[in-house]
Amino acid sequence: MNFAYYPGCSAAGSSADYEMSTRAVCRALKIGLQEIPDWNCCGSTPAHAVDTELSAALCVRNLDLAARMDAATVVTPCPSCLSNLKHAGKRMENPAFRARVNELLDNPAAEKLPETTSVMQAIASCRTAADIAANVCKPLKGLKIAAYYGCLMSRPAGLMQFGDPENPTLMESLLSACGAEMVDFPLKTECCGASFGIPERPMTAVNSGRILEVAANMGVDAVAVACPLCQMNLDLRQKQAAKAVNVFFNMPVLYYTQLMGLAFGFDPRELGLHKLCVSADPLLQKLDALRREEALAEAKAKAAEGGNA
Amino acid sequence: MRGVQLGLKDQVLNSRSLWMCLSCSTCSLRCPNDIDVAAVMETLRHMARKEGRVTVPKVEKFWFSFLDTVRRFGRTYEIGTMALYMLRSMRVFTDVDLAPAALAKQKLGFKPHVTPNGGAEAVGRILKRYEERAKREGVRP
Repeated sequence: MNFAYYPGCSAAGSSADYEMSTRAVCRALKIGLQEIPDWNCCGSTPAHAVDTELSAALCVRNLDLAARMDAATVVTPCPSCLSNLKHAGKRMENPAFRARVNELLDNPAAEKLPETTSVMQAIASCRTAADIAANVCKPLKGLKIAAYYGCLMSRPAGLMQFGDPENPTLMESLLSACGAEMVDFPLKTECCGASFGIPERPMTAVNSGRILEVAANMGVDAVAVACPLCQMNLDLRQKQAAKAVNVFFNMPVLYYTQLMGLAFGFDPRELGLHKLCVSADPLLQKLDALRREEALAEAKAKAAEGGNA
Repeated sequence: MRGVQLGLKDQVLNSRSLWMCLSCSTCSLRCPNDIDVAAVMETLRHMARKEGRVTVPKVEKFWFSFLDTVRRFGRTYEIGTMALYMLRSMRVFTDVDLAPAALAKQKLGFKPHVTPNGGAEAVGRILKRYEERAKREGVRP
């Protein structure tokens, strides 16, 4: 299965680890990602907050490039890019809107623009839980994980098509297939405070603090995320969040692809785990200890069996 | 929403809420009357901006710092966005507490990532046409 791939700007900067682990996991599952040549920024929140047609023009340039690659589907790991690309594709179905956007572009956009979906949905659409389990060589069994989706993966529900918009469960399915114990995390679709960390820090700190506090109280080993901005707010800004809610945290916040990659036996460095601000080392040590114990118990059982025979 | 229904244009377009909205869309999802509140908020923000009403200027300054880097490079340049925002808002110490961790982990690239093969210039032209059209139509870009 081949998809046109739109990495998004943070893939080259603050979420390089998401990019590394996404590519590793898709490689292992034999899902082809063909990067759109010369892709540009989708405009993120600033473009759509300023003007809908400007935002669409920036997105459509990418969709048009993908159409010229004969791609039926564009996939992206970033929920903000996903939301913008999907909104733009939908709005281009309106001829008056299309004409206004075409005015901003070098050349009019292709009549038929490709669909857009998330890497997470693309994995689930072409690989079953059994396919995923077949790639697991280091099960995450014994690790307790909270799946956190943030706002944009599931909202607006009609456009995003991501299951129950208040209780999506796709990340749980993928990570359960890797053996992890997923908790029923009540704040999974609450907002982390998004890009307001820069102009309005207290808002982001309180929102992120609340999410981390509930996760910590549930006794999880890590929070799994799918969004570069959520990851930054919960990881890089974890101390600011802790101060806002007056609790000390030491909570690793990993991309779901990093957790899948660990289960698939990739080296932590290949998955960019060294780029996390809150170290995932305790989690890695716990995982190694669990698997060692298991192997030991198995060897003992085998030896006992051998003795009996 | 009530303000919109009552036609309180000044009160609505000058409100802080328009600028403090995170666009998380939870309101649209949970509205018992099925009003797409997030879309209404976004439209009101567009209307306010076009008339030059910006009650919380630092939020808009951040957006334009971001878009300036996109116009130049075709892709976001995180450190560039921060630098432009600090200059625009005169808040030179924004997030300096995060710099050591962000730089040590190479979370931020020092060099901008440029869309190759003339892509950056194409993006520059999109933004230029957008501004020219807004001017022609007599609204603030």
